[in-house]
Amino acid sequence: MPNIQVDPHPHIHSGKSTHKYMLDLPITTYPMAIIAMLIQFLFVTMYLGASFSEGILVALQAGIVIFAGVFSCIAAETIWNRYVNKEFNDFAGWFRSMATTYPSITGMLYALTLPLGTPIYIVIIGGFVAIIIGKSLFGGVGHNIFNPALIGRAFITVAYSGALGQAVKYDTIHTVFGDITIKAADAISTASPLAKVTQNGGLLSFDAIENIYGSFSKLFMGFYPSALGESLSFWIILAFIYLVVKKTIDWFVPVLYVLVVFLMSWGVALYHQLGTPISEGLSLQTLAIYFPIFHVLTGGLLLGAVFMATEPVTSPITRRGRAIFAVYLGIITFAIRVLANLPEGVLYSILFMNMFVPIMDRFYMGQDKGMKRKEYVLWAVTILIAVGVTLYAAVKLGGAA
Amino acid sequence: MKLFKAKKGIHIPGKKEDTSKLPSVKYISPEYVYIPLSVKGSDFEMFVKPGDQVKLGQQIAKRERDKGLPLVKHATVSGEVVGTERKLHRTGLPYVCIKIKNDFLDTPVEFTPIEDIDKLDNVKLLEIMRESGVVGLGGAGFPTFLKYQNTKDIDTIILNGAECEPYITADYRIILERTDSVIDGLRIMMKVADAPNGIIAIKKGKKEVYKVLCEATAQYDNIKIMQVPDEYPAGWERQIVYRTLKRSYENFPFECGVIVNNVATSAAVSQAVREGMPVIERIVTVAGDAVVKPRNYRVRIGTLASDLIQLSGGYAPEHKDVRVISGGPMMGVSQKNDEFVVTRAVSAILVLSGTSEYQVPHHQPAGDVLLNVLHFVEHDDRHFERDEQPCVRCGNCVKHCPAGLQPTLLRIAAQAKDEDLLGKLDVMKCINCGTCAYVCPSHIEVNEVINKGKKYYQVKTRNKKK
Ligand code: SF4
Ligand code: SF4
Repeated sequence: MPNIQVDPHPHIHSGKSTHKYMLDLPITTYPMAIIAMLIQFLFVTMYLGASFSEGILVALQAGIVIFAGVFSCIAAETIWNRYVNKEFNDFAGWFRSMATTYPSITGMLYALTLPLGTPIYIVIIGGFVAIIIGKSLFGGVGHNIFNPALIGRAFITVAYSGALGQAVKYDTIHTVFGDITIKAADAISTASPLAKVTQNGGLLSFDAIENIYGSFSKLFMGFYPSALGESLSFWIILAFIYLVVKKTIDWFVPVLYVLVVFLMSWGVALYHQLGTPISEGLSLQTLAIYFPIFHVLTGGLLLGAVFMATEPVTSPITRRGRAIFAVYLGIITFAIRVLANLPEGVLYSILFMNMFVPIMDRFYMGQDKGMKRKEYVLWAVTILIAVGVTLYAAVKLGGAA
Repeated sequence: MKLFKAKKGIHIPGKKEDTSKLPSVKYISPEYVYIPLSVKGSDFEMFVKPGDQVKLGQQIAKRERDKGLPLVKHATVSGEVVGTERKLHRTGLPYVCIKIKNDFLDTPVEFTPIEDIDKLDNVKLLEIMRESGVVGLGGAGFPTFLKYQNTKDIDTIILNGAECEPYITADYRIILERTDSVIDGLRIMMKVADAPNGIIAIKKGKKEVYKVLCEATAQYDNIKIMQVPDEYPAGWERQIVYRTLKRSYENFPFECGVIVNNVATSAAVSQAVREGMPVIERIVTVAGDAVVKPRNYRVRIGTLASDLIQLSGGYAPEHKDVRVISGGPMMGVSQKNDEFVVTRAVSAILVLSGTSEYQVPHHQPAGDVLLNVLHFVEHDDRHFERDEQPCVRCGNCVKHCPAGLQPTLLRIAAQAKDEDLLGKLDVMKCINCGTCAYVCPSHIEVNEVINKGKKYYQVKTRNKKK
């Protein structure tokens, strides 16, 4: 006669687990780190005329920055859990603690937003800030209001703006092995694309882009100065497909986010007639389609949309709330980029919208009986805001140009 | 905006193969039956005293309206009343039961069969339904005749044969084995309610049942067979009504002109009217991974579950711990011991392996932790891992909650004992279906917490009203 146990219902479970869910992020981001190193190597050797050994050093530097980012997050989590939470005192306990608080994922996402030349001590400071201030002080996994990786990134952007501004430039690359001077330092190597747009008053003609960055396929493959992970558009799109197929993320959050930025920047481009009419044949220039594509491919929009905006802890809980969230992310990103002239639109917009998550949850509180009237009003207002911002931006940019 | 709508319900592997093909076995009546009354026992009026001889189908106790739900209890074997005794009820509470010693003669009470239902008026039919103690056999145990007291605007009777809980195949077997009774019962109920239409709702993909029902109802134009998606909880009244008629209602289905009954109930109604026989037996599924021979039985109401488990070959020897559940794995109640009574509303007895086999030990070697975390260790779905993680707000529970609530917000509100927030989150709309806990990747017992919050909310609001 076996022993009879009592447990609350349901007595079965779907077999889903947070670990399995979280495992999809390393599966997509860790290869990205390797690819980032490879792309950095190819970029400096093929397009900037660096020698092979210099290329290897650059790739190593990229690897060290990423490693420092991940390592500092794990170290911060270890210290916090060991000495503040007193969670464990042996290796297995440490392992379990690391496996259930996921600092390595935060760390990797944080590292991928860093530019190549970031001094290592800054990387480590940012990692600690990300974990301690961004997560642990709020109460650990599931209680943080802001995306921890972005908190770390925002902190170093503000505190070390000079060093970071230098870090993204490729004329002199500061590596841990010493500085590497790129002889063929030209326009491309001195600024990230969005900074370039900002310098040009927010508008950039197709020819200017082609002149500076070469073709759009180069932009797509990530051969331009930017943070390590931001530029790898092709990989991020693959990761997006994987994550959607595995149902790890909601597909409409990145799609809506990117779509809004796309449409708004397209609106600006159309207003200024940057492109050519359809009658001249189809190309990237037709109807200025290149300009929104440029906006989508640069400035870390894809990275932010796929990995940061979908982070479940810091996004609304209902699906419709998430849709609204994504649309506002798009609007704010665009506004920051174009109106405030800051290239870090993605970073600040996500952090900003994180604050509104409780409000959005409250908006959708209670039994879901389909669209309510105030929800239609909310969408109408949202669309009006989007159109208004686009028009304002279009007019304002025209004045500056 | 259908796109961003919460996806209601979730597909759960059925696990019905074990028992769905086996015809139900007639279980020879047990030596003693226990007819459960209630926890107090004193709210029932008893018609028998110890030492009395009772016949099969004789009324032995009754509760009037003013003392609770009006219920009638019958002797389900013939024999001698021994007395009262406390036994576990399907709800997990000890009920006062009337114990009857079986004389194995099955002497029935006299009755004149009714051939032509058209000659009977509705009042009389309702009377029969009431006196023969027909209750919701799907699991609710709600007296059926109460649903038919106000039938002014009713235009459709839906028979619920969806049986959305895994493992259970009792309704499936009833449809196959007593097809005519099911349809006859439906026609009687349509007559009582003056409803022109009847619908039998079954799950998508059950071809055998569909074929049988289609053939049997071919002669009645006003009875339709409809299929509902294979999702839990497709058998919930609200879902059935919505999926078949696209109607929704506030509190009770009659608000939109519908009455929903279980297929087993329908068969019981037919039996009561045609043969004068109250509900004395029902089909019960005995299944689960820790029982040797899963099977369906036709058993007398009042049989002890332990008898049925013995009959199914007993507990599988490889399990040190088991859980015995009355009802399905999603909403059934885990019992303290296996001596609980099969009442009219018990559709299954599940024997599942114990939870301790899946407990994560606190001091695991690092290698095991790694394998566990990376999910190389097989995590199967018969258990609920007891390694609760913090809620990561993944939104799974919100996506699947059939009532369209936000379980994780409810959980937080319930833990904070915030009755205003609980009210705003519509805690009373929760049907305690367990879907939220089933899908939660962090293995939080969401519905358990919500249920506590619900009780707290009820107490608080009641106090406020006073
Ligand atoms: S138990 Fe309640 S809150 Fe949870 S899924 Fe069911 S109805 Fe929703
Ligand atoms: S399913 Fe679990 S982890 Fe996900 S939001 Fe609901 S309670 Fe939180």
